[in-house]
Amino acid sequence: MKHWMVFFLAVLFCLCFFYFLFFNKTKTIFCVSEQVVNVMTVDATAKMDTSTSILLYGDGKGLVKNLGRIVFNGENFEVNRTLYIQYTDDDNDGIYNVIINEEKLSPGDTVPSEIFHKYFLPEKPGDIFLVKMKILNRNALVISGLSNPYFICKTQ
Amino acid sequence: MKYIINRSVVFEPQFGTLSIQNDVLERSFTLLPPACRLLNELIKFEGKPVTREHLLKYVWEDYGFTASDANLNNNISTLRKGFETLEQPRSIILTIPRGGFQLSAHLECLSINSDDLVSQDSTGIPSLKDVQLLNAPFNKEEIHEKKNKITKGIFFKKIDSSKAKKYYFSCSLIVSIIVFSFFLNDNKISKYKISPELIYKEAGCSVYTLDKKIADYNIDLKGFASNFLKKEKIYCSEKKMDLFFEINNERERAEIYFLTKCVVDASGKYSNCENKRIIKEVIQ
Repeated sequence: MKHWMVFFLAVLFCLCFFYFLFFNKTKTIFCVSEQVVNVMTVDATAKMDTSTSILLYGDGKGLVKNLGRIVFNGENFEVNRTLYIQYTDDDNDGIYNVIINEEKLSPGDTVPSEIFHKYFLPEKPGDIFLVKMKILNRNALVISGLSNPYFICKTQ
Repeated sequence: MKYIINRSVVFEPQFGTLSIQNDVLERSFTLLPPACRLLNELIKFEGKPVTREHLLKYVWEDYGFTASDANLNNNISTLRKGFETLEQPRSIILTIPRGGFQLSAHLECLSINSDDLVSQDSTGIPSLKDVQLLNAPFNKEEIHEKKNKITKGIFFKKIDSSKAKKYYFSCSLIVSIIVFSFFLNDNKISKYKISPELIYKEAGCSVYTLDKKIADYNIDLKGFASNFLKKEKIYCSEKKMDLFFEINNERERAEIYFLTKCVVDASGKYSNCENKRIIKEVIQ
């Protein structure tokens, strides 16, 4: 009886050890969408048409890649930049504190930062802002601010 | 109280002696208190096996002595020796392998005041109840308590063992860790879900609102959404789509229109989502 119990516990321990070593990794979310943002102000017209990819790792880190075009007052610019972010939900309420750690511009990106940050993304590296992220229906993720939705992306 | 064992040996617990009934030679064997208590416990179980754990507890621990297997073995040996000197076989106390011991003998009990048998069942063995009732030192409450204790002791003896407790605790801990890890394994975001409200359906399109409820709007949302879709040249007869529509025109400085078109594939999942956001600065 004793030997059986010891053997059973040893097997269970080994199973748990290998499980934690190889399988216990928190799921990563990969989400893609197409975005068209039209901004019409008194003195400017700006339109962004990009493909947005989001990668959210289970450890609270992630990245947002934007690839496409911006037309500002009739002038065309290429967008090719990646935001490296960190997200936390300390209150466990689905509202995340997101901080942009780095904004990396690829060589093909020609958008002046003033235009990009004034009309499309006010937040810059080091800024913390609040974002809601919720699962929608089948395989989609809704990213929104506190008042308005930003976009819906399809999870892979 | 006296017990007659195998119709010849008299056991008197109050004196701690084993003797042969009506023996001309007056042969007797004196038992030390532990051996006496041990024999008493074996007798209480009326010929049924008694576990080592039970004996260690009720013969030693309950009397404030340290229980040990060596002590138990020695006292069993003493009892066997005592019975042997009184012409009884050593097998009168059987060893149950990996279990305990069993008194394998015919038992009768006599009250203190009379040598008459108080009661016996058809096998000639008095019932446990009778044995306890006749056991002078105990009152009725103690008897009831002790009877319950014995019954419960038999049931809980395995669980009360400290080694068994450790095994069960270890197993419970490991199972809890495994179960908990399943909850930890999923991304936290997955637990927050949004439930859109259906505005209307048309052909292959289902038009929803997201965070805001239809009741929150003070306009004909269905009409507004329908016109908006036409303006954006979204035709519902082409493909099966879920459309998510939201307006925020309560701000003083801007109106924000949000429309997402997610195409539904054959498996019912979204194959693609296209978002459109229109931000119009309001001229005051």
